[in-house]
Amino acid sequence: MTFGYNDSCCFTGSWPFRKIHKGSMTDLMAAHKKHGITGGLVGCLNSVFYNDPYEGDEEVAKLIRSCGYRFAATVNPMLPGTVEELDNIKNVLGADAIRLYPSNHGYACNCGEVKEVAKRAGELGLKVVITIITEDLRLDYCFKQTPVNCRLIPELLDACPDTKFLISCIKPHEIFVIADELNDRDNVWVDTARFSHEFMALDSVTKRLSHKKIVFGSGSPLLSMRCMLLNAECTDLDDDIIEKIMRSNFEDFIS
Amino acid sequence: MKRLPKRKVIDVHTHILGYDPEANIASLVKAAEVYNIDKLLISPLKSLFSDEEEVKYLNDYATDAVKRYPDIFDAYVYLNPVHDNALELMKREIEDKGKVAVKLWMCTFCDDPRAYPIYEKCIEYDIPVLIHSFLKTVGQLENETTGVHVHNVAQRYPEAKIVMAHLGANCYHGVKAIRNDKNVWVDFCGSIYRGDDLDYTIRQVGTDRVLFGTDMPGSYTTNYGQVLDADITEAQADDILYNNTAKLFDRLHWYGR
Amino acid sequence: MMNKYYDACSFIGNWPFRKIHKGKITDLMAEHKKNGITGGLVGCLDSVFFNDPYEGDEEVAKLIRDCGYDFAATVNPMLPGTLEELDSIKTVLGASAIRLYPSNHGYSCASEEAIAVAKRAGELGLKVVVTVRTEDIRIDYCFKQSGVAMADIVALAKACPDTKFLFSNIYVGEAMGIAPAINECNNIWIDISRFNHMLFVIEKALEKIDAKKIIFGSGFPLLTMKCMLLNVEYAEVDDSVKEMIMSSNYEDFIS
Repeated sequence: MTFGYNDSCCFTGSWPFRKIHKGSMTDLMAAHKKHGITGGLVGCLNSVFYNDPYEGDEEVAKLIRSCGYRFAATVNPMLPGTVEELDNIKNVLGADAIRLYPSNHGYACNCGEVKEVAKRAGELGLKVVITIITEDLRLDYCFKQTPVNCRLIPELLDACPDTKFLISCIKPHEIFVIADELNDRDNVWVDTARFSHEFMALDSVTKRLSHKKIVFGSGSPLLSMRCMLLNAECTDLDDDIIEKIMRSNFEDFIS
Repeated sequence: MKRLPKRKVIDVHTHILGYDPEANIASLVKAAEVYNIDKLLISPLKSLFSDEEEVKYLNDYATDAVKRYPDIFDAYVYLNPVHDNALELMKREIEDKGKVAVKLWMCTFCDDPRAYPIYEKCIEYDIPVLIHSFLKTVGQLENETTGVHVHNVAQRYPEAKIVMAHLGANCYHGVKAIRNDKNVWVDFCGSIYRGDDLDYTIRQVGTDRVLFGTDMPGSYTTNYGQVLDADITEAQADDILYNNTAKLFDRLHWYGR
Repeated sequence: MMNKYYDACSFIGNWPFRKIHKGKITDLMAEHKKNGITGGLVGCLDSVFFNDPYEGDEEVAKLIRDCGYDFAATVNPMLPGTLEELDSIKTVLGASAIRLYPSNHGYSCASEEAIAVAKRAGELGLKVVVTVRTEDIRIDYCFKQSGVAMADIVALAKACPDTKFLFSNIYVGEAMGIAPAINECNNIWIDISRFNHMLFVIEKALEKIDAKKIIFGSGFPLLTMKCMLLNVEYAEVDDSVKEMIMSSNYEDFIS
C-alpha cells in the first residue's frame, strides 16, 4: 500500500459503555500513521449522547482540524435550534460534515426534521454522514439502539439532491437491499467500517454496488483499524479499485 | 432563626396553590423572612384547566394576599385563554387590582391562537407574561407548553416580553429553542435541576435574560444555591437575583421593605 | 460548625449525557474546600455505564483515596463475576463502599443477585450505597432509567442486617414513606442530595426521620454543592442536629 489514504469513519473521545484506551487524537494519529493513513473524517464520541452535542464538539473541533483531519460534528435533528446551529457548526467549528446517529437518537431517516437538516447542510457545503449503528445491537449494554430502516434512506437522498451523503457503519446485507437505489444516485457513498461479517466482503459488495461508492472507514477506536485494512488488502479486486476505495472516493465525497 | 445574609432579591416565580392557600401564604411569608427576600411575585394555581369561577377565586385570593402583605407580595393575573371573559378579567386585574403581569399555565399551549389577544393586550400594557414551560420524557401533561411553543409566540410577537419558566424543564431543549429570541427571558426554578443548568443557560443567552425564581412552596435554597455556585461575577449574580427582574417588571409596588 | 464535614454523595469523571465542567478531583476538592467540607465518599461517573465498571474505577480509585476521600466502587450485581470481584474492589482498589445503580442497570434491589452482593460486601466491611436515581427521570435523554421501588431497597437492607446501607439520591417524599424502616433498621442511612423539591425540607424530614439517619450529600457535580448545604445551614433545627447531618452520622455509617 502507498501513503496518503483516508479514513472516513474514526473518532476521538470517551464512550459511555466501555473504557476507550486509545481515544486521544495522538492515539488516532499514531494508528493511522502506522497504516499509511494521512487523513480522514473524525467525529467526537463524547458528543453522541450529550443533550447538547455542540458542547462536546466545540472542545475538540479545532484540535482535530489542526491535526490535518476533517471534522464531523454530531447532530441530532430532533433537538430544537439544530437547523440554525448548522451555521455555527460550519463557521465556528469549521466542520466539513455532520454525523447523524439515528440508532442512538431514535428517529427515522426520512422524517421531516432530518430532511430539513440535511437540506440546510447541503446548502452550507456540509456533507451528511448517517451512522447506521455505533455498536452491534446484540451487544448493547444499558442503552438499546433503535434499528435503522435503511430502506428509508433513498427517500432522504431524493429530498436533498444537492447534499452529499455517506452511509456509515452499514453492513453488506443492508447495502444489498438498497444497492440499486444507491447506484442510481450520485450523492451517496458508503463506508467499510462494518464490513466485518463476511468472507471477502469488499469483493461481494462491489458485485452489487459500484466501487466508486465505497470509501474506507475503520470505525476506530470503537472497532479495530487493522480488520478493515486487511479486508482491503486481501481481496481479488484490482489495485486501482482499492486505491479508489482507500483514497479518491473519499476525496470525491468530501470535496 | 438563622437568616441568609441581606442581598437584594426578587423572586419572580412563586405560587399560592389553591388546595391550601393559607398554608402556602404562611410558608412564603416565613421564607421571605428567613431568606431575606425583597419581593415575591405570586401566581395562584389550582386545576390544570380552571373554569371561570376558579380563575376568579384564585385571582381574588392573590389580590387579598397582596393586600395583607403588600411589602412582600406582588401578583400575576392568572388567565385561561379559552374563557370569553379573559381579556375583561385581565383589564380589571391590571387596571384596578394592581396585578403586575400575566401568568399562563396549562389551559392551552401558549401558542394556541386563543392566547393571541392576551399577548396583544400585554404589549399594549407593556407588561411581561410568565409562561409555564416543561418538556418531560415521562408524564407530559395535556397542553403543557415546551420551549418550542414559546419560541413560536416570540416569533409571532417580537414586542411581547415573555418569561419562559423552568428553563423549559430540560434546559438543553428549552433554552436552545428560544436562545435567539431576544424578547424571551428565562427563570430556572422548578422541581428539576442539574448542576450545570444555570451555567449552560448563561452560556446560551447571557446573564441579562436570566431571572431568579424558585417555584415556592418548592425549595428556595435549590435555586438560590445555583446562583451562588454559578460561574459568574457578583455583579452578574445581582442582575439575576434582582436587577433584571426590577427592570422587566416595572409595575412592582415598593413599600420600603 | 465543626471542622470535619463530609459529603456522602459526590463524583468525579465524565457523564454521557452532558458535558461536566467540574469533573476532576481537583474541582471537587476546590468546591469542598470552599464550603468547609473535608472528606466524604466519592464515586466514578465514567464507570456507571461501562460494561465492566472496574475498568473505570481502577483508573481513579487511588487518586481519590490519595486526596483523602473514601472511594465508592461502581458495581452491577447482574454482571458475572461480581461477587468474586468484591475482594479486589476491597483490597486492590481500597474501596470503602460499593455504589449500586439499579435505575441505570435495570434490576430489582430485592433480587437474589443484589442481595448476594450486598451480603458479601458486608462481610468484607464494604458499605453499600443504593443510588435511587442519577438524574430526574423526567429529563432522561436517550437512555431511560427504570424506577426503583422503595419496598425493594428496604427488603435489601433487611435481608443483609450486617451490611451498612446508604440510600442515596432519594427524594424526601420517598424517604418519609419508608421512615419507619429507616428509623428501625440500624443499618440504614439516607443522604439529602435530592432533597430539592420542598421549602424547609430538613425540618419536614426530621418530623418523621431520626436525625441520626440523615447524612449530607451534595450530588456534585451532577448537582450543585450549595443547594443542599444551604438547606442544612438555614434549617430551623438545633446546631447539634446540623452537626450530626454534616459530620457524625457519616462517621457512624462509614466506620
